[in-house]
Amino acid sequence: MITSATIKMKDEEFAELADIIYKNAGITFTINKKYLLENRLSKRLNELNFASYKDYIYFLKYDIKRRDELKILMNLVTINETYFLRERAQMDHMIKKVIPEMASKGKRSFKIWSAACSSGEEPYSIAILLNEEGMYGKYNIEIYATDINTEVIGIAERGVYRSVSFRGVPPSIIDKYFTKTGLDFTLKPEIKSKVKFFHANLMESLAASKIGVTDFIFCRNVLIYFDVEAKKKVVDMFYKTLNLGGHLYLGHSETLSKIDDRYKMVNFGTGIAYVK
Amino acid sequence: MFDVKEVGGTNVVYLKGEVNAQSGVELKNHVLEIFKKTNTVVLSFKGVMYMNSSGLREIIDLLKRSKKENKNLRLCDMSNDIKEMFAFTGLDKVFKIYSDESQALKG
Amino acid sequence: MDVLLDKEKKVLSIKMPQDIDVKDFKSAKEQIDKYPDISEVKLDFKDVPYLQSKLIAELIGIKKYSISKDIKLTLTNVQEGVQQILEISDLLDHFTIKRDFGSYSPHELSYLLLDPEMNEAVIEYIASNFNENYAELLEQFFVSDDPVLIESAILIIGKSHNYGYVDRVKDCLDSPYPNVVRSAILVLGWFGEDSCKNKIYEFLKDEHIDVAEAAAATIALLSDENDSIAIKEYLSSSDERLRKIAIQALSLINDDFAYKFLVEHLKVENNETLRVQLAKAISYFNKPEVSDILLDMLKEDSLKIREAAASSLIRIKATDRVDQIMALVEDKDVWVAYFAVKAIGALCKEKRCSDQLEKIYSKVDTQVRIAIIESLGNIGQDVSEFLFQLLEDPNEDIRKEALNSISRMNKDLAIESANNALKDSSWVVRFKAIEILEELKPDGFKDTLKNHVKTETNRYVKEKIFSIVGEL
Repeated sequence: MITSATIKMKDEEFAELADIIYKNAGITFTINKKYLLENRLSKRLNELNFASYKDYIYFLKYDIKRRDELKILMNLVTINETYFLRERAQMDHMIKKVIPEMASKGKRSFKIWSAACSSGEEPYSIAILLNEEGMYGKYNIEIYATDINTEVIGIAERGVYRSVSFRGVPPSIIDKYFTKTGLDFTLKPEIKSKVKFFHANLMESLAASKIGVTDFIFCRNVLIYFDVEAKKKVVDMFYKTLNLGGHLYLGHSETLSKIDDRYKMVNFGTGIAYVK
Repeated sequence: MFDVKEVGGTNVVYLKGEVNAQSGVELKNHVLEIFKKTNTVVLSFKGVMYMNSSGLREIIDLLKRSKKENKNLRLCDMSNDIKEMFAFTGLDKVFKIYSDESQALKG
Repeated sequence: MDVLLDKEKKVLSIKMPQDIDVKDFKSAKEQIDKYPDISEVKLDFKDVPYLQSKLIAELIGIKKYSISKDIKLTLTNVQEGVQQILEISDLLDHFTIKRDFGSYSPHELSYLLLDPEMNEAVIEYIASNFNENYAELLEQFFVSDDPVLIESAILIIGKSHNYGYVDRVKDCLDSPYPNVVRSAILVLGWFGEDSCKNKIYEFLKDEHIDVAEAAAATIALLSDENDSIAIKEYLSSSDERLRKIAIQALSLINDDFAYKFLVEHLKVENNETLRVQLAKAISYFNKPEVSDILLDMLKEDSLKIREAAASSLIRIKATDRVDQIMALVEDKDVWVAYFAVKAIGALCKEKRCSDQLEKIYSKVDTQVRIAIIESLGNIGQDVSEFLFQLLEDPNEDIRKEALNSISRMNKDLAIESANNALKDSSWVVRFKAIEILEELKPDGFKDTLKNHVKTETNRYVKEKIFSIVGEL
């Protein structure tokens, strides 16, 4: 990544871009997230030699290559930067508490869906922790991972990371599961093979049909970008996809209050789960 | 080399033409002088067409000294190219940079 | 309920409790009454996970109360649960919501630093409020072995100009983490640490491009007469990323050597992106030949290069080249024509320019038409008659730009047109109309807007109106 200067956005430009993004991805940027759009789009403007977002908006509306550019725009605004073992407490809850409880009632197969997997840190973290607990020998576990952003799916499938993806990760885990060459940390094949990646937009009902019924859904730090209507729609789709007793894990700041009252909220001390 | 105007009680310094070692030092001394009487100065880059590293160093020094005295230095109206120079050196995150004068005056 | 008064800024901060209730709003009002001089009240919702419906009415009450006393009301650190309730109650647009890190403990802040979306804002906050508590926090970061925390510590030191830590930062040049090394190199540049320059030169060869970039930037920032020559070598690197960095560094060094090297390099560089970079870099030198070089670049085949040359010609205000640029306004490449038209708008104030643009208007593509309308506004000659007829154009952006340009030459016509445009079918035109009314402030415009908002359906337009009239 080569640095470029942040270009400030006028209110009028923000409204038009937010509208374009909403119409194409269902993601709502409220005015207090303007800085996010500025950070993510400034580099693209510099690449295209545009001095203002207005020029860029006209490019998106009138250029013959506007369809390609729209895809690039969508990929830029849906990047969700993350790191390994982020908000690990929820993963531990699933692995150390919920799966063993379900298993004690005779369940042997588990399906986990990482619904906004970004560059793969979340589903791979889950696979690593499952492996650490020796779960793969005992049960049949499938992990599906989806994201709206085609570019990050590509990164996830390659499984090659940089040191910033490892904030707070114990060195023993890094050594055990990654091969370091130069600055690259390459995930070992035995974990990589545990996750299947797809492209999916959570605003389209098709997303769930790619997965089928599932026991656990992780969808963290994504709903904050959606407005209430979009949140309701996504969370309803999750409800239909979950098995009875299935768990939904959201980001630490997110909540289903006033969004969907069918889920039962379980507070396990270090985090929250929503149970069907 | 630069004009100074008082806008709603705040001093706005309009830089012009080229910011280099010489004009940079003059600017610095002048702004430090203004800071003896007031707490906030806005530097408008609207008229800046050229800037080199010696000029930039003087502006960093100005920022350093104004921070020491607990004064506010705000920058505004930078062209993308000038901003690019600040970004290249990471300084776009060190200075308080506003898109235009009215934003800078609001703080 | 904690209450804090910032006398200098006249801001009263009131922390709302977790089990918030009607009585808390009542005592907040009492607090506001206690300080008649304040201009802003911040209600801190950091600890409030949820708001019962009966409290919504209280919140509206306190908003109305603050309006009546001409005090700005800001809600800070609003959690997602409360935000959702405001959104469902259609109140989100009516409240200013901000983050205020002042209510977080150092420990909580270090947790927020790990959130990629928050990192930069938290660094900024700690740097501008640096004290002993945070110094302790920095110590913890340096021993944490976490690359993100160490990088944050370095940037906090750099931003707060904390020269006491300079040796700590120098030590970080030996860190195994590239992001740490990169930030250390940048901060040493900000600090003017010439003594490190030789060591930083080695990082130009770093396999990590971010580190090499930082090294080039810091060397350029600390440069003396020898550095252009040393950097020149990288112009012939086989790695195009390194060549780009070298171009940027030479442009910042900006001495006669640097200019000579860049002009020479322009003759041999084949990479399109880098030629774009060169056009920008060369336009950055105060030399008479520069506009000729840029005009030559306008003849190249690559669209991107021609765009860069055109926009650089605007930047250096090549007013003596208006005729050459005018020749490009009907260029076969839409975007070259677009930039040329914009250049004319920026460089020329004369009637012959507006006449020429008006003349070609009907012959060009939509983007160029939009640019022409915008440039007519910039030129400033009164062409409001021509623009007035465009207010009926089927394209929303043409109507919008026409409205905007009229507002720059004929205020009476602009007010009349903006009032009419409130009925436009496109929200982008209505948005622009409101901006114009806000700027020109005709008598009674706030009432017009208050009336309009009752029937307005678009959220952005509504938001805009609320931000102007500031009422519920």
